[in-house]
Amino acid sequence: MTDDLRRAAPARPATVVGPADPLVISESEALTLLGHLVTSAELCMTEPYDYGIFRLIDSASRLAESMLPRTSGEDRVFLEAFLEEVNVKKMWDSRDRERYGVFLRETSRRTAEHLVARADGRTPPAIELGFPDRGDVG
Amino acid sequence: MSAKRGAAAEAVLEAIRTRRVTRSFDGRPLPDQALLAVLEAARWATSGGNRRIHPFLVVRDPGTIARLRAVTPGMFSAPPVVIVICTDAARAAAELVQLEYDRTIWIDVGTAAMNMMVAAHALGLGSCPVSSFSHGAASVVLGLPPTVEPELFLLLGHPLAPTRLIRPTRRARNVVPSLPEGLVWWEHPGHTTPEATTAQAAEGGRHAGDV
Repeated sequence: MTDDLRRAAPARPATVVGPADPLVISESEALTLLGHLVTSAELCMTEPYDYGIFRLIDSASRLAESMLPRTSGEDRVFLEAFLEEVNVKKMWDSRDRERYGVFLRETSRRTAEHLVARADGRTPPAIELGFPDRGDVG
Repeated sequence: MSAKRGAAAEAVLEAIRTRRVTRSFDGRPLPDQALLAVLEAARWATSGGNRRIHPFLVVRDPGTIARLRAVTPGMFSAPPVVIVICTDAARAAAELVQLEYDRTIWIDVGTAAMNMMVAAHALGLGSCPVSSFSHGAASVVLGLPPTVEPELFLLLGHPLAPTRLIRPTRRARNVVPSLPEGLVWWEHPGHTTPEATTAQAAEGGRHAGDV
């Protein structure tokens, strides 16, 4: 980071941990995920087209799996549905860009809906299982 | 071909045809006898010049396997056994193998892996070859000396979804091998149509002579 960028970087926000926002992964789980992310980055030097996208969504599902046992309420409902879908559809052939794109866009949209509802203190929208499959691609 | 030899051939071909990659394992440990049988299959694999410069490192410690998985994005679940096919530079030097030029070392890794995968399948086990790992990180996790390079991981265990060898039937014995276009080149690069074998050509020649 250059000096200019360092000066421009915002101050790191204080971490708030407590009953309202509890930690949901352990130190060893975090370090395991760190290992996965770092080595995935290294492998993207040689296999980006076949696996680059997959490594990211796979990392997301590994994070969700680590979070699930210590998560409750609406977050747990969201994570369970997320994992049920993503763990199957991440294995689709990502070279089929149209089909994989529908899956990823839908996953992003639903994740955002949960984040926004959670931030607003609303009950997140009911999760409808079954992301669009090949037959739904227009 | 005798009936006995035909049945043996069909069993081998059926094992080759029905093997699949197993990515999820049920957690049961592997019997030693089965593991030894799989490793013996690697022993019988072809090796360029019979030089045998690829040691097979067997990892069964769950902690080591968990750490290995953390640096192996291609390992989706933890198996009970990981066989690491390595290249030993010291053995290669002793055998006068020039690692930087000799491509047979990669072929030897593949033949060993394939023999083990087919043997595992014949024993009712699942296997998965994994090349997507950080070589540097894996070497640290495995404690490999600088002269030993991990080339390929072979995950081994009982499949979560059970698979089984299909007992060959008369119909199966008559299955014509199916190869996707371009998978195989016959005699020359790009030739996708099989040419007559030497034996067929000789037989055809005799017939031509008869006519």
